[in-house]
Amino acid sequence: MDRRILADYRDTFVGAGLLLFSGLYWLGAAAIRVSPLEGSVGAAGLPKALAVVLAILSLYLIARNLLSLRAQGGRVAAAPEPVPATRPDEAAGHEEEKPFSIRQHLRALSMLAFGVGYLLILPELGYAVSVTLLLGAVAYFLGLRGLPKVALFAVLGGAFFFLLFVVTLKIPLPEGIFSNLLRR
Amino acid sequence: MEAVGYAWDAVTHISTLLAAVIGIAWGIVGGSLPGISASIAIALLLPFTYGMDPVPSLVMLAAAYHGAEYGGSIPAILIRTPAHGSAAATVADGYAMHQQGRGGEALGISLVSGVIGNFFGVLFLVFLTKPLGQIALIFTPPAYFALGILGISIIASLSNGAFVKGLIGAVIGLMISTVGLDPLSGVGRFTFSRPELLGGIDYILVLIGVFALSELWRQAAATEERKKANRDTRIRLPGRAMLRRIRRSQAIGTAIGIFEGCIPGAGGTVAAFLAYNESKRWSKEPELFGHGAPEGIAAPEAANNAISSSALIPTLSFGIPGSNSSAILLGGLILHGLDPGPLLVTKNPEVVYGLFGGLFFANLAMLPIGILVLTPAIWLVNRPKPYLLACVYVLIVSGIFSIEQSTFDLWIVIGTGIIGYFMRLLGFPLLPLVLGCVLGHMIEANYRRSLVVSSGDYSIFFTDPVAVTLLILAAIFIVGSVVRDIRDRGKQARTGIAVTAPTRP
Repeated sequence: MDRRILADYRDTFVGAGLLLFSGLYWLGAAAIRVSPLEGSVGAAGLPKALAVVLAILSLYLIARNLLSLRAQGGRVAAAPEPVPATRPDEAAGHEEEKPFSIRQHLRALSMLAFGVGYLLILPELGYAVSVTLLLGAVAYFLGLRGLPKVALFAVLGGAFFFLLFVVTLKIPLPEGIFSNLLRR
Repeated sequence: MEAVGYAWDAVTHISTLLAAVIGIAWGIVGGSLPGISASIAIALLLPFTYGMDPVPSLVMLAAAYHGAEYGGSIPAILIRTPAHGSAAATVADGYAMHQQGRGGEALGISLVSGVIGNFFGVLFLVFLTKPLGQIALIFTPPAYFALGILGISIIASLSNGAFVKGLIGAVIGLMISTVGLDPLSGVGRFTFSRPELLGGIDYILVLIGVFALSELWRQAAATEERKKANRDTRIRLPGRAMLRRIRRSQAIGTAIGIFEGCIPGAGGTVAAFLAYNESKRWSKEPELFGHGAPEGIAAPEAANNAISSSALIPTLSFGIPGSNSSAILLGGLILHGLDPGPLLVTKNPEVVYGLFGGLFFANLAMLPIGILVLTPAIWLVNRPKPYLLACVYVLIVSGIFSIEQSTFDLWIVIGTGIIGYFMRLLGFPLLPLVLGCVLGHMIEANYRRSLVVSSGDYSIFFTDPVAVTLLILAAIFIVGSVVRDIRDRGKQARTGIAVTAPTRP
């Protein structure tokens, strides 16, 4: 789909997605078991109310977006979101984003993949090896060049974090298959 | 007198002193790294405090908050890159001074102004928390419910330009808080037959996922080149004449910082820019601002440091965090089984006054530590992005595992990180979501408890004077924000441009 249309109708798409989610959430709330111990509201009371509020807010978001588009003859993307006078964005945890390119989103997705990969290998390979691989992979991906440099950073970093978390803080991080082999 | 005893106990305990020193040092170093904001620096410390006693752990987190506010000014002055929003106001005059060869002097002004702002911030924290805590006695379940609603409405209404998205974030946060066993009947909700979800989703996991992990991914995706700081810069503390010159700006910054800190959601960025503007307005030489005026550093730095103390007033007294960083501190309280809110001072005076004592010490320690850690901080600021982000990634994933020794928690953090990334992308403020998670249990449990007490009669919310006052305030915030939203959108539609009034230096 044209990126311009995506930008123009961004809040409409987001609102539609949230509306769908509120419906699913309502269904989940309706499936909550009724307990003889619950009061007049019940365990499903708040979830159902939240589903309704989210649906209303989603509809408001959609309506606002469509009305803005109509008022401006079909385009709102040129007009940015209102910026407060003195940047209270940090205060409210609202960080205004410069639009990312597809390539940049893919970079972020790759970072997510590294995290998922780490979680998948952690129980098998153990903390020391997994963390060394994570350090090396992320550093290489973000632009560190030269295999010896990457390997040195990963090994030294892995050793440092192993000493910090496992030896000093005594966190029982997964040991993995290598420790079993060493014990034999 | 009892309070002084608790504070004295804390500051004569080596673990508290050590925690304060480590917290300040880490805060300065972490806060000085562009992209690693104050809140992320504190979030990374959180898992390390899990095994500690409550007082040193809270002192460490709060000291890191103080340190990070000063740390943010280091790259702002040296490489024109504020490490976080609240240091942005320092850039104009700080960098101008650096270009004039007065970078060390600018750093000294920033450090001293921060210490002064902090000192008065902690004083107000001490004097205001106790009286506010006294009102705990008149808080009933309906009042607690209303307090939760008010907290959410304030934060959402302060999400400028994104009020509806702020409310949506808060609702999603409340939805996350419903996962797990129902607080009254013990029925499982949204647990998907996973035993790990029976206890609910820990708010710390949401916080670290939404703030730290999503920011890390965003930083990794950004491709801009980072500038390098001069390694030979040495700090120069202001002399008597300079102190006389900047004292008015420091007073303005401190006053604004303290006031803004008491308002949940106002935050350091607003305070710093307001302080800068007011300092300029009251200056005899406003034309020097933006060209290396020391007052242009003193005012915002005093303000954002004062706020790092005064933002703890609503956090400790009402359980409503004033900023992202104080939200993480609130997580520290919850992590240690403490219940932030009106009863905290009454039930855990040793923790609250111990924290105050530790903060006074941390503030004193900031001066020498600020001088000592400048060189390592500059060294770290100059490290290439791959090293920094890889280490932060490992710190996050290792730290999360340390809390409950559960890989399931790591999946939750990754999940909330994805939510945070999309929220940033789509212009949703993050704090309301976290606040929804924090306040969800309080809102629901007290709402239902109230109805049990009144045998299902909803008038209980309108007959309790505290509850009705808080609910009216919440309604004012919500209606006011809706009206402002509609008015701004109308104006935008008519003119074709967004309603903007930036007064950045």
